[in-house]
Amino acid sequence: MAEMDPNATQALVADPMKTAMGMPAPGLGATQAIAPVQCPVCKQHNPPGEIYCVECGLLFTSEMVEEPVAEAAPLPCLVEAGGREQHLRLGSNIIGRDGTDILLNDSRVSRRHADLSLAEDGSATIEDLGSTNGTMVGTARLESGQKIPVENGTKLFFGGLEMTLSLPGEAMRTAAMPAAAPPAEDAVDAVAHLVGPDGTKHPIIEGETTLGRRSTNNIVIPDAFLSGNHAKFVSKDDGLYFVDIRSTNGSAYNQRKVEPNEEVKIADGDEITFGQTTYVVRFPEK
Amino acid sequence: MSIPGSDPNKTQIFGPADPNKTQMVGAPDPNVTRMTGLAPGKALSLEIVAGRKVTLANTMSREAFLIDLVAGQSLGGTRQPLNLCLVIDRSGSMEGEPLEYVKRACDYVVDLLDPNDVLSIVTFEEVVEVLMPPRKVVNKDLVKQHIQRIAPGNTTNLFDGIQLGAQQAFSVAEPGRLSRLVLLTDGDPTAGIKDFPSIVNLVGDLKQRGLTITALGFGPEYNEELVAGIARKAGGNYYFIARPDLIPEVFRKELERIMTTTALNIKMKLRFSRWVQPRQIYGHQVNLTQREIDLALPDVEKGTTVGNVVEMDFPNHPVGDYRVAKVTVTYDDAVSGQTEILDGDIVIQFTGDRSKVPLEPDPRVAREIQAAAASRAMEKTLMGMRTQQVNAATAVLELQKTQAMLAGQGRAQEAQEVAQAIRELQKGDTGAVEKTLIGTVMNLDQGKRSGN
Repeated sequence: MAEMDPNATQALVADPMKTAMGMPAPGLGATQAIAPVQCPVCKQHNPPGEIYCVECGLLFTSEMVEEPVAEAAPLPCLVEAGGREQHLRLGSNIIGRDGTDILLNDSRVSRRHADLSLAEDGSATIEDLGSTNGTMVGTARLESGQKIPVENGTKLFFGGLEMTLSLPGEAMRTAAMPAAAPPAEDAVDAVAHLVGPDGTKHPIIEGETTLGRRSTNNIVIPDAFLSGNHAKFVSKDDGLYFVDIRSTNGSAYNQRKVEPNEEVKIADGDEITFGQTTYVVRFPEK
Repeated sequence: MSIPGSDPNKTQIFGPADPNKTQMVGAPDPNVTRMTGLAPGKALSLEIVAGRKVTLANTMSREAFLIDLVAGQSLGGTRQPLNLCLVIDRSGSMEGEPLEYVKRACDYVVDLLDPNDVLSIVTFEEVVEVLMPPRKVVNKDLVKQHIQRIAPGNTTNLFDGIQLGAQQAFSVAEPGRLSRLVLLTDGDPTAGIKDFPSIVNLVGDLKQRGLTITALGFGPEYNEELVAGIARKAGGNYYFIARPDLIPEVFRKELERIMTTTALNIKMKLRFSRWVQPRQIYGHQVNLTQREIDLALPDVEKGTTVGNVVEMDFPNHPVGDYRVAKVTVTYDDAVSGQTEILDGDIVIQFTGDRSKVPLEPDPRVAREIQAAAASRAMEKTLMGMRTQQVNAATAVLELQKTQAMLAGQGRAQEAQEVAQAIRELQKGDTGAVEKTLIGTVMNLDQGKRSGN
């Protein structure tokens, strides 16, 4: 800078404690610190002389900054009544008072109270682990050891402590990653979506997409009228096919009952009914 | 008297002796353990250790950080004069030997005090009375004559006793004088306000106003939850005195701790950055929904370290070096009487490269987490014994495991206490086990450790 003020560098060392610790010497970083700094990550305007962003804590001299990052995609979580979010991982999430994955600091909650499992397809199940004060799903009380599927928005009560399950649909299916295990293989682009009457979109992927009540399926629909393994979508070179794999209650294609193992070619906007619900298949716009 | 800043412990921090500490003066690498507040003459210094200095970005990560407040080995000056109030239970059950030993213990306290110190004595039974209003300990024989007048009464009015004692202490409280109340009781409150929450709230209130309370439980009858609860809430110490002849020794020990207090009214504020979620702070029951968390920490004696472990979740954090929380500590220096401020940064690097994340956490952080686990394990054993779900033999096994763990971590005092509890358990004295262990649990939860 042309009119470099000789005093300007002093502003950096205003805090005697910080220099004592070996903070960045005035030099390369000096011009950065003198002027107010807008954080490249969270866009917060910082007063001059800050070393870390006052909002997100970014170290301004950090070399690791990539392209400005958009606000992270929401992850599946349990939301406390106070708004605090407890994030969930794929697989088992033990809920309890003492050293568990989801830590609830409330005396009504048992040390190991319940297990909320997330499957890779984004479906969730809850199991009570023999808690003292019990687990409620909505208004229904879980028996100890009983495991039932739960959906986005379900209210769960652990010994009376209320939490709401938040499964942010699509986002989580690609964003959620196991904590310790190697990262899951990149999610394959959906060839189409199975859209429910409430707008929930289940992706149909390249190759086979299985569908049923069990959590081992690609698309899990917790409807008692569905078979554990109910049907599948098969994506071939000449289009997408729907096959009912000998389900107990059958499936319908555009209001017509489908024969077991019959391959039905699907077009955009076709209706498929299984259990008590009719879904629409939507292809992405080209 | 040493000159402020000449404390050998404090200069050592810059020295190359400790490999962990030399990093501090090094290059501005944000990932190294950070230490601030090293200005000479400060009673405390702040040291922050990350469990891992690097963690994964853009996924669900979790890390624990140890925040140590370290008091030097020497006071760095003459101690402040004391404003000490003894609040003594003289209910009927104290009659005979216990009260005789209490008198001896009080005499002992008088002997240890200087003419600059102020002492007041309150006794309680059904009624509460000021045995001696606050006065300087100049004529020690006269004070001792007052002490000899303590006579047993009937019931236990603990609440009013504490309140009257606090009144005495506050009446002479002044800057530059260290106020302390030492409470001795041997039973459940039986008169006046008896419910535990009211009593614990009272002492919390007194602590807010600057009065620290140490609680001594004597004999098999008192309620350890209440007595330890008082000490915990009031920032003081808790002792279980099993036999009357041990009373003078415990008074001596406590007075020594009071006289070597280097910092009091310690408050720690944590301010978390965006995208950071505090998961738990070991040993503290706090509301974690706020972006700022305030913790009240116990008073610190010389040569003591108070460690707090904060565990945070980072859901989908962006890549880079970040300060995930800012730590601000305020305390009153017991020597100068001045309020001091320390601050520090909790910094971690977020990376997309899994191979950069250390597999093992820093051993110091791991050790503190283990201590917290030991504390929970003891609580569980205690609860199991109370509800008779755990029999004595199982409890002994559990405690032996805990004892070994504590000994392995170099926590000699706690290991010794657990060993003591095991002996009591083998004698069938479950009451004593609970009274001993509740103190151990409290110390572990407060994160206090002696020696640095």
